[in-house]
Amino acid sequence: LLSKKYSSCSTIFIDDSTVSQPNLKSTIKCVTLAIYYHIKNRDSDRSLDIFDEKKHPLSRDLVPDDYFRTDPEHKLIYRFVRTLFSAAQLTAECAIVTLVYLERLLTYAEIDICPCNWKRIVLGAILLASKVWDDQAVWNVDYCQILKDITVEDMNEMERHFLELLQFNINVPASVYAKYYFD
Amino acid sequence: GEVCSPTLVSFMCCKFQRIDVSKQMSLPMDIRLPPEILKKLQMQSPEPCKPLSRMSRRASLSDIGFGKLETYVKLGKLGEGTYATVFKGRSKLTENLVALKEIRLEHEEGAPCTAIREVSLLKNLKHANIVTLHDIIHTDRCLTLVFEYLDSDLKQYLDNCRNIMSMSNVKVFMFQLLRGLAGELKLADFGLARAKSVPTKTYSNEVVTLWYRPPDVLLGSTEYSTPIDMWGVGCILYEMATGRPLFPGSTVKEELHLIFRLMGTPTEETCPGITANEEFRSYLFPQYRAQALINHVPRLDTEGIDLLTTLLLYDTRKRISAEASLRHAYFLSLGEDIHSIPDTASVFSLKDIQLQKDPGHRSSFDCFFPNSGRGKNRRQSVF
Repeated sequence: LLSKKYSSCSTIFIDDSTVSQPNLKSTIKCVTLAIYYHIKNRDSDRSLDIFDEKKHPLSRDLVPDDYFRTDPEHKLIYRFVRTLFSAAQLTAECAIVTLVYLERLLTYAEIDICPCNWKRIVLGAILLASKVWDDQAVWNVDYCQILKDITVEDMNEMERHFLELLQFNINVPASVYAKYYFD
Repeated sequence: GEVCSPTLVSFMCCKFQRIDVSKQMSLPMDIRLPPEILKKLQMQSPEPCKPLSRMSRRASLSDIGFGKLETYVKLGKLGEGTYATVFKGRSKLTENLVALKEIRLEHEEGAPCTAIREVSLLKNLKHANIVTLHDIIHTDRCLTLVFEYLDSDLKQYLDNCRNIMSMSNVKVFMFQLLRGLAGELKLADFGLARAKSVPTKTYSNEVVTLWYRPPDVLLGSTEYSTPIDMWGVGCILYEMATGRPLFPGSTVKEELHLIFRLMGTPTEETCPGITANEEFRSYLFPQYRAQALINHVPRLDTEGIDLLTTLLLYDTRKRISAEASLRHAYFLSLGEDIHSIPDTASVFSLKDIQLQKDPGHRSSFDCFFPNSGRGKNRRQSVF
């Protein structure tokens, strides 16, 4: 599904920061494409209040009328993730872990990623992935600088729910990482 | 994120058992469910074998009282640091003693990554010689980890037997320590090995003692590797066999000095690369010759001395691993069956493995094993 565009040269990826830029970009492309298909191919609309944008809006701006009914375009998901990644200076590695956590959440919590919850689920997964996997840990409050209208209390609460739903299983075995990396 | 390095997992969480533990179950066997829950569970299970989904299983655990602060009674403070405070407590579900580790949550940070990694690691470890994490309570102000309560450490144990342990007990404890460490090596597969630096602070932020540190770390190596733990194991073997610490230095220089005086000042032959180490050269240590360990640990038999020697090798590539040491001749007398017991079972599940009364043991058996008479299935430990 995603592998076609992806050549894997780990030495470039790790060692050279200029070369790693396009790689981060293509990783985010692949990861967001996977999210896009998760939303598109879902069977139902099971959700949880903590991830619901209607109950916990991420912005004070009004959303379009059909926002909660229409599946987001890949471009929209990509822009949302890219904004967070460049503002928080996250790595391609972190993007892959984000996808692992997101899919794990859907399985463990028995919910579907859908128009009303995708942004908060993606944000929660990025928040956790960046905290656990990046050496320069991003604090929850840092996301309030990026998304101006959210509160740190909201981020803390979402993180707490996320961790509990994942049962604190933040482990990503090398084999799983490699599988996601190459798929 | 150095706080959750595997070194700490090994040294802080390894535990010894004096009393047999039956197979571990996901719920404590002696759990006392409140009558209303029992009733509910009975009413709700027309098909008792039907597997619960993740969500409903979690909901029923929460009904029982897991994950709730009110399930645990705080009894007293055991220790405090900037990262966490540890309390002695009691579980209302089992009436067992527990250790409650309260991690304060910083409003702006959210859950600390060290705490998240620690929980994730410990949840994955199910081993009779690694301390068990029973429960997690996560509120907006604090993250509380509920551990089994271990009421004695090596120092207290040695105090209790006036520093004279039975050599047969030394062997059993050593085996348990190495089992815990060998099990811990599986962590490498977890892919969680993000924190790879040597910790300088404990979980409660106390400075880690220098006594169990190998020379390579004292001379500036910060990379975590498993041979680091094995040096410490050697120090502990000595301490159990003699009743006193092997290298009780209070500064790095003194620590290195004590090591070199006994083990000989390292040379290119005993410790490849040492002559290029700037820090080592700057100390200008005298050229000590290695002394025979047998003169310092006369109670240890030949095999024990050999194991100790291979644990205390300067060259980390030659230092014996936890797995290899479990197969060392020193442990032959424990029998072959000890190698086939499952990780989650105690070594005392074998009837041949029993602790002897320690020669220096204080007056009566009961003051040493205060709970043994009651026949409860409670674990005690040295670490």
